[in-house]
Formats: sequence, structure tokens, C-alpha cells
Amino acid sequence: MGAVPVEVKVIYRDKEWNLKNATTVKDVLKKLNINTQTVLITVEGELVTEDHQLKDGDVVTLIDVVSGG
Amino acid sequence: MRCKKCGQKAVIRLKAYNLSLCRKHFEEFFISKTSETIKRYRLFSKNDLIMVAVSGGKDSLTLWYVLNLLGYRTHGFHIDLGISRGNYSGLSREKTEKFAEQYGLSLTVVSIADYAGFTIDDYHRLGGRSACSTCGIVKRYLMNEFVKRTGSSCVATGHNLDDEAGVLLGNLLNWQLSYLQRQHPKLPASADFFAARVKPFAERAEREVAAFAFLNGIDYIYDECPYSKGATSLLYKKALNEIEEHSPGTKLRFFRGFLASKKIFVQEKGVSDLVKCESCGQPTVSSPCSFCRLKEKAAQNQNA
Repeated sequence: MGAVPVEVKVIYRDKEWNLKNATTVKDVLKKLNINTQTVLITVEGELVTEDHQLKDGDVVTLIDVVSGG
Repeated sequence: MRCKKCGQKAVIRLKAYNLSLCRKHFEEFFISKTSETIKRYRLFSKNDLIMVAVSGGKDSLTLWYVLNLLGYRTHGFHIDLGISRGNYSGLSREKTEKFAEQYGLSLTVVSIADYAGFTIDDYHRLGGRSACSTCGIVKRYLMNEFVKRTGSSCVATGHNLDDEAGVLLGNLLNWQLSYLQRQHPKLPASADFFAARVKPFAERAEREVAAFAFLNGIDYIYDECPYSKGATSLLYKKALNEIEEHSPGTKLRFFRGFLASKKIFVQEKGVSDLVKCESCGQPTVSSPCSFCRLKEKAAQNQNA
């Protein structure tokens, strides 16, 4: 049985919003057009990989890794 | 995804290595790869006292943490640049001092305002030289001065693979041959810099460093320097990350390939005569040195 799309909260660069129809973390990154090389992904505070299956109401936090200047 | 080593749930996927790893095995991977870089480029030994340039950011704090974990002798060095916007320097210093205290590490903090009578903010207000250029002169000068004072064998900075590959791309695009000749994880001591400058994270991707810092609860400053907006280094890093996303391993191949081929950039060059700065005594191409000229200009502005 395929994964069920759920609604999650996404936090990125001090902004929060709800995202619908996501099944995995990879979906979230794709919808937001974010390069996987540039962020760490946590779900409920735990570091996860792109294929992590999301649950309804999960809080997905994206942490920028690129610094410089 | 499952950890390739033990089958437990993976916390990170490293596409460049075709690996997914759990927390334990990622940390082991990160530490062992850092150790390999230190040995491969002969950066330093266990007999050396390493001055770690610590900004309060993820790379330098993580470097300091890992070097101590590996059993190296270290001393932290932090420069308070006096950047007040967003309390950037205040927070950077706070994170550094808290880290040193937490892990019982020795740290020297130098405030540029106290040492030289000006801050990066002051110089930015004066106009002329950019904040980044001024910052570069200040850091270089003070690292050189304090490596001598502390008797350190080398200065270690937290520059990572993304930084090195980005700089390399910039140098190639602009055909900066003199920089291409010099770029390396180890810059030996020279007539104008008293100790070797080394980059143990030169082969570690920025994302790996961030992941290690996160997993080990290293509390670093997330804010970027307010003067870094629009920096071309960020543009080059972004371009490389776009390529890396489609062709994993590109950054490491690019950097290592350059190091293996560096000799094609070596040119015959004349020896530049260095003199002693009439003001501070540090070796310089022309006296007074850039740092003392900064001090003089700032002092003139304050007296005006």
C-alpha cells in the first residue's frame, strides 16, 4: 500500500507554514525547491534522511548549512 | 534508509560516498575522515600546539571539538571584530566563550576595538576599503601576532570543502594564478606569516560539518555576518551545490583533482623583498603595513 499524503508544519529561516500532500521529506524539499546539499532535515527534532515517511502533524525543520562571505 | 554499516535507521545520506549512516557510524566516519586529511597533507602532529581560529560559527567550533577529541593540543583564538548589527560580534564571542568554558578549553579573545582603537563598523562607516577586505587584513595580522605570542606551531581554520571548492571555482573563473599557486589545505610558514595555516576540514562537505555539530549539540551562531550579503563566495558555493545535487562527489573530485594538478599553475616568480613595518615590526611588502595604515586612518578620523 502506498504512503498516504499528510499535512505537516514546515519551519525554515524563521518562517512557518503548513504543507499539504507530502508523503516523505523529499516531497517537502521538492515542493519548496530546496537543494538537499544546502540543508539538514529534522522531524520532531531528530535528524532524518530524505526518504523519511511523514505523519500527519509532523514538524519538519530545515536548517541551512551554507555559511560564508 | 538503513545504515550501511549496521542496518539501524540512518540519520544522514552521503551521496558523494554512496552511503547512508546512523548517528554512531556517521560520527565515526566524520572523525576518521578528518584524521585522514590531517595525515594525508601532514597538517600537524600530536607534538604541535595548534591555535584554532574560532569565530563562533559551526565550522570553527566543530573543528575545535574534533581536534580535542582526536587528542591534539589546542588553544582557541577569537577576534571580536566589533560588528554591532544584530549583535553579531557580541553573540559570536558569547558562543565561543561558552563553548570554551563548557569543554574546559583555553581561549584567547582579542577585541579589535581594544587592540587597535577601531572596529569593522568604524571602517565601514569611513568608506573606501570594504568591510570584508578590512576584516581580512585584521584577522591575518592578529593571527600572525598571536601565533607568535602563544608559541603555536600552526593556525587551524574551519574552512570546509564547500569553502575550498568555491574559492577554487572563483580563482579559476577569474584566472587568479597567484592564488591558484598557493591554494592548499596547508600553507607553510613563510617570511610574512610566522606559522603554517592549516584546514583540517578541507575535504569535509559543509553539510557533514553541520550534521556533526547538530548531533553533538554544538551551540553556534546561525546568523551570517551582516556584511556578507551578496558575497561572490556564496554564489560560487551555490553553483557547485547545484552541480553536486546532480553529480554527487563533484566538489571533492574538483578539489582533489586541482591539488593533484597544481603544478600546472606554478610559475617562475621573483622574490618579493619584505621589510619590517616601521610601526609594529611585522614583515610587510611596504612600510607601514596594511594593518598599521588601517589604525592610522581610523585614528585620524576619530581626531577629525
